[in-house]
Amino acid sequence: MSVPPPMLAERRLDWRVLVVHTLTFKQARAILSSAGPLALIVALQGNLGSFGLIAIAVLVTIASLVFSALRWWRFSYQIDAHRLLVRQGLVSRSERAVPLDRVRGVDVEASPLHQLFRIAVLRVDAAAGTGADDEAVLDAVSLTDAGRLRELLLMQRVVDRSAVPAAEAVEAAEAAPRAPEVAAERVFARLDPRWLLYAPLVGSYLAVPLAIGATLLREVDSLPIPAGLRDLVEIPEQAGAGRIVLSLLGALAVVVVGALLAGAVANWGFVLASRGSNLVAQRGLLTRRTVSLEIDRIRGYVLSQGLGIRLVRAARLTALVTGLGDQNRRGQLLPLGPLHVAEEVAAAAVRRFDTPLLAHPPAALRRRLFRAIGPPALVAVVLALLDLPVAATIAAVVAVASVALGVDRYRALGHAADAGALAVRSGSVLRRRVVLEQRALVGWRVRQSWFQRRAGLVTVIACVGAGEGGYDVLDCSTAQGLDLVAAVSPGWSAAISW
Amino acid sequence: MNSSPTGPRTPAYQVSPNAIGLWTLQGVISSIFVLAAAVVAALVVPEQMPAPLRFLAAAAPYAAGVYAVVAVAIRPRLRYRVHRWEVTEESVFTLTGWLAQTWTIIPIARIQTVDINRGAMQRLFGLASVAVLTASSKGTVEIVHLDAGLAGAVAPDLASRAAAVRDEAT
Repeated sequence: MSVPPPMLAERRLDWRVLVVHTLTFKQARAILSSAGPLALIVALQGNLGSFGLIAIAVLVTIASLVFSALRWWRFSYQIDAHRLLVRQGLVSRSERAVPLDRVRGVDVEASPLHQLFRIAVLRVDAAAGTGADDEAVLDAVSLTDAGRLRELLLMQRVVDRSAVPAAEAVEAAEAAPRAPEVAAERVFARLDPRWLLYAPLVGSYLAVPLAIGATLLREVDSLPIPAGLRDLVEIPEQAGAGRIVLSLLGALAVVVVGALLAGAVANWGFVLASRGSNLVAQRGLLTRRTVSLEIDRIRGYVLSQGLGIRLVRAARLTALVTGLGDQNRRGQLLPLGPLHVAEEVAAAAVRRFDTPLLAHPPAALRRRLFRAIGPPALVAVVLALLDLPVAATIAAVVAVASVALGVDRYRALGHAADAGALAVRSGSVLRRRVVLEQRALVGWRVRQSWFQRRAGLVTVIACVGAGEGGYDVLDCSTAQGLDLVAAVSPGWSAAISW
Repeated sequence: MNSSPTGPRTPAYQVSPNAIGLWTLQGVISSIFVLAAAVVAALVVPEQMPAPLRFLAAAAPYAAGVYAVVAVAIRPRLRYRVHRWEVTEESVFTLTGWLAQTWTIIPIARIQTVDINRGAMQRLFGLASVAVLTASSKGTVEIVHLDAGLAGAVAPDLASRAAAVRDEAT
C-alpha cells in the first residue's frame, strides 16, 4: 500500500479540560461523596462562620484541581500503525489498545461547559468479543483535534478494508489520499422544530417532567416555597371539584411543557448526513452529540411507534448496526418525525423495502384475542367468586376493552421478503416494523408451543448479530414460516423444511 | 417439498442413550432434596397456622412424591425422545422441547466458535455437549449429551468447516 498509516505521536489531552473537570469535580467526586455530607453536617450545626464555609469551598476546589491535574498528567493517547493506544492511571498503569480496523464509530460529545472552552469528549466505539464493552474515551480534546481524530480513526479503517481485495487495491490507493477532503455530504434528514410537538406523546420524554415532579413533591415541605405559591400546589382538605380539576389541568400543562422541553433539549438541531463512508447524526441543544455510524455495518432499520405517536402518524427510526453497543440511543436515524418522513429517510439512508406485508392467518387473531382478554377475564371471574362486585366489574370492563387491543395486535402482524431483505411488523402499544438485510442473518429459530401446534402456527425468530439479536415473526402459519425461511436464506436452511 | 401440517422437519439423530441415565440420576438427586424439604415442612408446621396453609403443608410430601416419579421415571425418557440434532452440508440443525418445541438452524458459514463442554456428571456417563455460537445472542445452539467420542469428532469438523467458509458479513 502506498498510503502511510496515520501516525500520531503520544500526547496528552487538551489542558482546558482541567478547568472543566475541576469545576465539575469529575475526579474528586468519589472522595467528595464521603467528605461532602460531613462538611454539610458541620456547616449545619452552625459552628462554622461564613469564613469557614469559604475555606471549605476553597479546599474542595483545590483538591478537585489536584485530582484533575494528576489524571491529566498521567493520561496519554497515541495512534501507531494499527492501533489507538490509551494509557492512564496514577499508580497502576492501564493501557488500552483499540485496533483501528475494529473501530465501529466515533462519537463527539460536548456539554455546555465543554463548548464554552471549545473542547469535546471523543468516544471511540470498537467491536470487541461478545459482551465486552470496548470503548475508549478521550475526555477531552480540542474541537479541531476531535474532528481530525475522527477523520484519522475512521479513514484508516476504509484504507485497511479496501487493501484486502487485490483487484481494488490500485483504485483504493488512488482514492484514499483524497478521502478526508471528499466528505461528500448528503443530508438525509433535518429536524423540523414543529416535530418536537410530538414529544408529549412519547413516554421517555414524558418521564422527564414526571420524575422531576415526583422528586419535588417528596421535597416539597423542605423547599422554601412562599405560602401563596404553596396554596396553589397543595390541595386543601375540603377542596371543591373545580379546584381539583384546575390543579389536575395545571399539572398536565406542566408535564406537557416539560416533555416538550425534554424533547427539544435532546433533539434540537438534529441532522443526519453522510460523510465519506459514514452516516453522521448530530443533535442536542445543550450537550451537542455527534454520532458516526459506518454505512458498511448497517444491516437494517427499526421504525417504532408508541401508541401516542402512532395516533398522530409519527414514528422514530433506528438503524441496526452490527457490533454497536447502546443501539437505541446511538443508532438513531430520526428521533421523532412524521411517519412518511421516517420512511423516506429509511429508504434513502438504509434501503428501500416496498413489498407489501403478508397478513397472518385467522388463527393468529384468535390467539391474540385469547391472550389479550384471558388474563383480565380470569381476574374478573376470581374477583366475582370472592364476592367483590365492584372490582369484578372493573376487570370485566377491562376484558371487554381488551378486544380492541387483541384486534389491533393482530392487525399489526405481518412479514415479507424481497430480494435482499425481510420485514417484520408487530405490536400495539409499541408497534415496530423491522427491516433486516439477508446478510445480517446468522440463523433461524422456530418456536411452537402446544397451543400454536393445535392452531397450525409457529413463531419464527430471525437471529442477527445486530440490535436485539433476534426479531420475532409472531404467529404465522407453519407454511408461511417455512416459506419465509426458504425465501430469505435459500440453500443452508433447506434442512428445516420437509 | 410439501410442508408438514404441524411444524418444521424433525432432525435425524437422537442424543446418546446414556443421557437417560444422566437425567435419571439428576432426577433422583433433585427428588431427594424436594422430598426432604416437603417432609420437613409437613412435620414442623405450627398449629396456629391458618387451615389452608396447614393443608398445603400436609399435602406437600404427596406432591413431592409425584414430582419424584415424574423426574425419575418419566422425564428422562421424554427428554430423550424430544432432543434431536443434525449436521448437514451447510447447517447445524436442532430440535428441543416438548410442550413448546424449538427448532434452531445455523449456517456453518456464520459459526464463530464451537465449544465442547463436559460437566462432572457428564463425564460419569461418557457424555459431552457441543455448543455452537454465532454473532447473535439468540443464534446459539447446544447439542446436549452426545457420546463423548462423537462430540470430539463433530466439534472439530464443524470448526474447520466454519473456518473454511467463514462469512464475515455480520
